[in-house]
Order: sequence, then structure tokens, then C-alpha cells
Amino acid sequence: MKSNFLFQRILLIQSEYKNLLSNLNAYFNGNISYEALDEINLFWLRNMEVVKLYLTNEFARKDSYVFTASTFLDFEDSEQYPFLLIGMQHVLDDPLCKYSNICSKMPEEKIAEKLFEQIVKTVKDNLKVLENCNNEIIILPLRLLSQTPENSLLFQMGEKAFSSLFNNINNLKDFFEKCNSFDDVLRYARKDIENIVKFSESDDKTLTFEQRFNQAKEENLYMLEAEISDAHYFFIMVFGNIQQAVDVIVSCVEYECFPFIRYSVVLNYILLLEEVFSDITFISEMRYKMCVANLLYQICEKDRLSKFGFKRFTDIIKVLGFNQMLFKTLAKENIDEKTFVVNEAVPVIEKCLEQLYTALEIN
Amino acid sequence: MHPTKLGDHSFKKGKFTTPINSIPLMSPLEEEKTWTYGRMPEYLWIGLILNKHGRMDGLNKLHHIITKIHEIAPNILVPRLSDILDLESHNQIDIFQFIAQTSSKETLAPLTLIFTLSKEPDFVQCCYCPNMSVESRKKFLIETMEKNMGQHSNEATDIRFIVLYYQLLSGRLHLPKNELDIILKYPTLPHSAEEMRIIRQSVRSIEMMSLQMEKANSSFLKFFWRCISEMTECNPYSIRFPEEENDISKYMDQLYEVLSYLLQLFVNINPLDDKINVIVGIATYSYKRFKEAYDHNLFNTITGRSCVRVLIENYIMLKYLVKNESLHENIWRDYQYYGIGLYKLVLARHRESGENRNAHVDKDYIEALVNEFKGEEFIDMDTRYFDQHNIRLKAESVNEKELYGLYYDYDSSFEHGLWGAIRESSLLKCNNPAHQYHCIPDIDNNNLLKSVLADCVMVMNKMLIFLNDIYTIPSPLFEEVTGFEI
Repeated sequence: MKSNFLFQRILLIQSEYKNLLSNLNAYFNGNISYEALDEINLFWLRNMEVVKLYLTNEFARKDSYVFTASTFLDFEDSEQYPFLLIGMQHVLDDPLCKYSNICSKMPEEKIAEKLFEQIVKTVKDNLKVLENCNNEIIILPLRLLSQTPENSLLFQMGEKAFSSLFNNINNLKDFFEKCNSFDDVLRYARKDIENIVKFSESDDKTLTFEQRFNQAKEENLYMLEAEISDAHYFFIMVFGNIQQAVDVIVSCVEYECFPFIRYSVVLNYILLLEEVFSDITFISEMRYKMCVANLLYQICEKDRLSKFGFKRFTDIIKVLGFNQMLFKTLAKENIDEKTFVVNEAVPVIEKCLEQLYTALEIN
Repeated sequence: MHPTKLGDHSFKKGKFTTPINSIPLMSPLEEEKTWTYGRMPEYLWIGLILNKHGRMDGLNKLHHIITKIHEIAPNILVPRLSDILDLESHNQIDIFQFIAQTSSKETLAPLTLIFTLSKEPDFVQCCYCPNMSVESRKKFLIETMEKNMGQHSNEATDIRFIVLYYQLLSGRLHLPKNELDIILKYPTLPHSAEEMRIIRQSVRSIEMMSLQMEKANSSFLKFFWRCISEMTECNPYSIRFPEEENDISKYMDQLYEVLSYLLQLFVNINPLDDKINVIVGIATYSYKRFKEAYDHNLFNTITGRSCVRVLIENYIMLKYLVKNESLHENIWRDYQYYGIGLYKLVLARHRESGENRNAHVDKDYIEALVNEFKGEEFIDMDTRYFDQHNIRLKAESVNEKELYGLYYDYDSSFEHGLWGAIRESSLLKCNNPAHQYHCIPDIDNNNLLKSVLADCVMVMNKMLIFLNDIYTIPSPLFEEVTGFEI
């Protein structure tokens, strides 16, 4: 009997990860547990080569999507439904592996309540995905794989993108030499910077750029050092997002998969960075599939998708071939990676979703 | 220790059995009780302490530590980590805290790579250091393992002394006073002391005495090796013998001249004689195999070994045919039809299978060859050895037993893909103790086998000397070619 040795191992890893998180769950009540985070990190480090082998040979080039640039999926809010609507294979990029390094480098008093809350939420959410999604969503640490020596190259890409927001600033050293206050930032900034930069999901573009900056600073204060300049605040809030976008693009290009991006901030920076990667042919397909995924996420009604349960939902989207149907319908309307416009795609996606809702209700 | 001679083995039904394996009930140590796989992981914590503090200070600290362990857990008979980790929580905490106080918290921290919070919470609580990165923990662990993998290393013997001392302390082991006095000198003397040569041997042999009473903790060992091997990467190294660089173009030219002379003899003197046909045919086949290896520079390859093997087999067969021509009527013709008969068998199988794919066996061509001089209905197919003697017996009968025993058998391993040949040619050694020095496939062809050129020339020249006895090759040519040396 033919068996998929590698996939069986991945399923075993999922099962071991579920047991590990269940066992560690108790340690995430109360104080931060470095030991528990270390164990999660070690778990993924031990399995890293198998994960890479799987991503390269079983996941890549198979219309696969990775849910990334989020701290957790949010199973209770039925976020697994929109994610599974698109693509044939699904990986949830596990952020837990990175917290061990982040926390060990921060003084304990700095690991504020909010970050710890994130970690606890992610552990619990991962567990729910592992327990309830029947391996339709595989949890793997894609972002751990980008911690390679090539990182410096990734950093340079981010630096280049960040510097392109300014005039007469060539690199980060230059930025910190020339900018201290927010006024300095404005002095060197490109004219259209306020249209390009997005500080957070709640960034209100009706406010002035300075007001938006101050609001974002307030929101992120818990993670930032108290005694740094406004230019440094600006750098942390913008460069962090740019670097995340670089990581997403590089991982997706490497494993030829498409990012499922829920938040518009990251989407904004990924689209901004396209120019840096424009010589990679996969990029235009990636942008198209990522935008359709995000649009689908925005439009779909999760209540209607989840109404009849997870099993029925996954069965129906397979029987219906929803993913293929969606892209065929878009193509029929002359929408593809070269012609994609949001306003034209929306009614097509809505039409496909209606068919799916009907199929769910009839069956 | 000298290896046992072949003659000291017992030989029954084709199998050589070593003298030690011939002793009833004698068997090697079970894997789980061997030092490297079964015991070293259990005592790695001792190695970490010795590695951290050096030998003298480390032994001193360990004296206090094992005394404390015995005091806390008198039922533990050997200081195995798995036994300590099986103790009740408060006992574990007392022990690990004492170790942390006596040595430092960092000393056993490398083991938190393997024994993690969900598995061993008490150990982790006492020994985990958030500031020790994964890489640094890995480095300490591998460094200690490297020193202690060999059961006879001084470092491993230090650990084995502590294990032995613990057994004396726990009352599990009793030694006569004179032996005890010798053993107790161990921690006081440096390894460089002459006396230590004997003391180390005593420590190692006595430490093993109680192994029969022990039951290895299989799940602990499996878990340890799985984690440590997954945590580290392979570190392969290849064996590359010098690439063959001798220029043999002159030799090959001379060889060609000899074959050319033989060809002329055959064509011009006796073109219809079966004997010269077979002899020159065999010589030409050997020449062509050699030439292929030369043309494609195959002397350092697996294929090169196949070449030596066939040169030896051809030479032995040639000698055998000549030796037996007076005893075996029509031996030259029978030899040809023995080979053609085997071709016919292949042909028949192809016809009956109905297989029509474009394989390297060309049915039509084979059919033409089988029917070349005699209708195939008159050709039998003998699946036994020619003349019913295998190549070993033939070699013995023509006084070429050494050629067979020293080279042919070795090359046969390559021809049949036996494990010795696979190991030598196609696997690399991984120099990572955490992987138990396993072997990994050499898909990038990093191994380079020892050149076969000298042996090809040696066997080819033997054949030429033999042919010279039969046909007399012109002397300047013969002397030049057979005088060639690598």
C-alpha cells in the first residue's frame, strides 16, 4: 500500500505539538514561563528539517496558502472558515516559536501584560485548531525558518524599503543621524508618505500625519522603551511592519505559496514592497492570490459559513471545488493577475460565495 | 590485540564462526548496556560536571553530590539520570538544587535541551537558565558527548569511576581490600601517572560487573537519542583516496600492439580454429574493459572494481580452459556454446514474456547471435557453472587462489551490491556524536575509492605472460608491456 512517509511524519508532529501545548497549558496561567516558551522553540527546532522538507516537497507549488502575519488565527471567531475557502493546502504560521527568543532578550518587567496575553491566547487558539480542524490546517513555524544567516540580506531589503520613504536618506545610519524629532522625520519624508505609511489597523487617515503617529505611539507604548526619540518610535512602528512584510514575501517565494493576510497594515506593506521583488516572476501571481484571499476574507459571512459545522463546510467546499470555481469565474470575467481591480472582483466573489452558501444550506 | 586468523575460525556449511562466538551462551553486550548507546546518556550529567570543573575539582564535587544522592535516595543503586528523574518531586528538587549549589545552575542546563518542562518539570525548575541560548547548550552537550563517546577514553573512565564509587557507597558492590585500595587511588592520581594504566582498566572492568543486574531504561534511551539527534545536524566527512593521475597512454598503446599482433595471428594463421578464437576473444574482452576504464577515467570508481573483477575472471577462465583442453573434448567449442546457451535462455524468456519495450536487450540481435552458427533448436541451455566448477574452484585448480581470495571476492561485493561495498563507496561518516556516528548517503559523490589501475595492469600483464607462453609475443613488445609498472 502506498503511503506518504513525509506527510505521516507531519501529522505525527501535529499530534505531538497538540500534546505538548496541552501539557504546557497549565504553565501559561499566571507568570510568563520562559521554560515553556523554550520547550516550544526546541520542539520546532528539533522538527525544523522535516518541516522544511515538507514545505519544499509537499506544500510548495500546490496552490497552498499560509495564514501569517498574525499572532493567532482566532478559532472561536470562526476565522478558520474564510482561510479554508481559498487554496488546496493550508498552513498556519506559528508565532509561538519566536516568543522564546523575544522574551529571553527582554527584561522581565518589559514583558508586559499585553504580550503575555498574546502568548496565552495563541497557545489556547493553536490548541483549538489542532483539536478541531482535522488537520485541514497544519500548524508550522514558517517564521522560524527565516531565521537563517541570510537574515542580513532580508534586513538590507527592509532597510532599502524604509529609506525609500525619505528623500536624501540612504540607510538606517543616515536616518538616525539626521532624524531625532517627528519634525525631522517630516522634513526628510517623501511628500506622499502619509498615504504610504499605515501605523495600525485603527489608523485614521482623516487625522493629520502627526496625530496619527501620536495615536499609534500611545497604542504601542507597552512595547516601546520610554526614553527613545520620536524618530526612533517612528522607525520601530514602520520598520517592524516592513520587516514583517519582507519575511512574508521571502518565505512565500521560497515555498511558492500564497500569504493569507487578514490585516490591512501588513497587506499595505507587502504591496508597497512589490517593487523590490519585481524581478521574481512568482510575485505577480502571489499578489493576485493574496489580494483575492484578503477580499474574500473581507466579504464572506462567517456566520453563514460556520452555521452547519466544520465537517460539512470542508466537505462542501471540496465537492463544489470552491477554489477552482472562484478563479474560473474571475477568469471568465477577465479578471486575472494583470487586470485585477478590487471593485470588479467584489461582485464576482460575492456571486461565488452565494453559490457556496446555497450549497451549504441545501446539503 | 591481534585479529584472529582464518584458520582459528570454525568453518561449517560455508560459514566462518569466530572463536569467541563458538563459545556456548557467549554473545556481545546488549545494545542498551553498551557504554556509548546505553550507559553514557544516563551518566552524561556526571560528564557535564567534570567538563565544567575539570577532573580534580569535578571529582571532588561529585563526591559530595553522590553522597547526597545516596542520602536522599538510598534505593538508587547506580546514579542513572533516569532513576533520579523517576524519584518523587521533592527528592528530585533536593538533588538538583544541591547540584546547582555545589556546581552551578548552568552546569546541567544543557540537558534542558532534552528534558523539558512538560516532561521533567522539577529538573527544569532547578536547572533551566533563560540566558543560555539553544546554541550554547547544544555546544556544551556535544562537547561533553564527544569526550565521552569512547568507553576507554580518560574522560569516560572518570565517569565510570564515579558510577563504580557510587555502587560501593550504596553497598551494591563489595571489593576485596587490596582491590579497593587500588581503586581509591584513582581520584588522587593524574591520568599521566604510570600506575593509572592498570587502575583505569580495573575501574572499567569492575564498573561493568553489575551490568547483569541492571535493567536498561529503554524509553529513556530512545527519548534521549531521538531528541539529541533531532537537535543537531549531520557533520559528514568523506574518504578521498588520491585521484589516479598516472599517465598510461604508452602502456595502452603497447597493449593495443599486442592485441593487434594476436589478431594478425588469428586472422592470418588459423582463422577457423576454435582455440585461438576463444583465447583471443577473451583477451580482447579484457582489453576492452580495461580500455573503457581508461577512456572514462574510472579507476577510482565502483565500475573500476567491476573491471578488475572481470579481468581476474577472464584470466582464470583462460588458464582453466588451457589446462583442461586435453581432459575435456571440444572444450573450446563447448565453452562458446555454454555462453550462447545462456543467451538463448534470455531470448526465450523475452519471447515468452511478450515484453516489447525498448530495453537494452535487443531480442532480434540476440536471436541472430544465438543462431549465428547453429540452429537454436540444437543449442542446450546449461544454467550451472561452466564445467560445473565455480570460479573459486577454477582459481584453485589453476593456482590462482590468491588472486581470487585477495581481490576477486572483494570486487564481487561491489558487483553484487553487498553492504561492505555500499558502505565503502556510497556512504559518508557523520562525525556527530549525537547521531551515534551513523552513516549518510554520499549522493554528491564525495567519496573517492582507491585507484584500481595498478591491479588492472597487474592482472592484464599476467594474462599477457600466459598468452606469451602459448603464442610467443615478439620479445621487445612483450618486455616493454609486461615491464610496465605503476
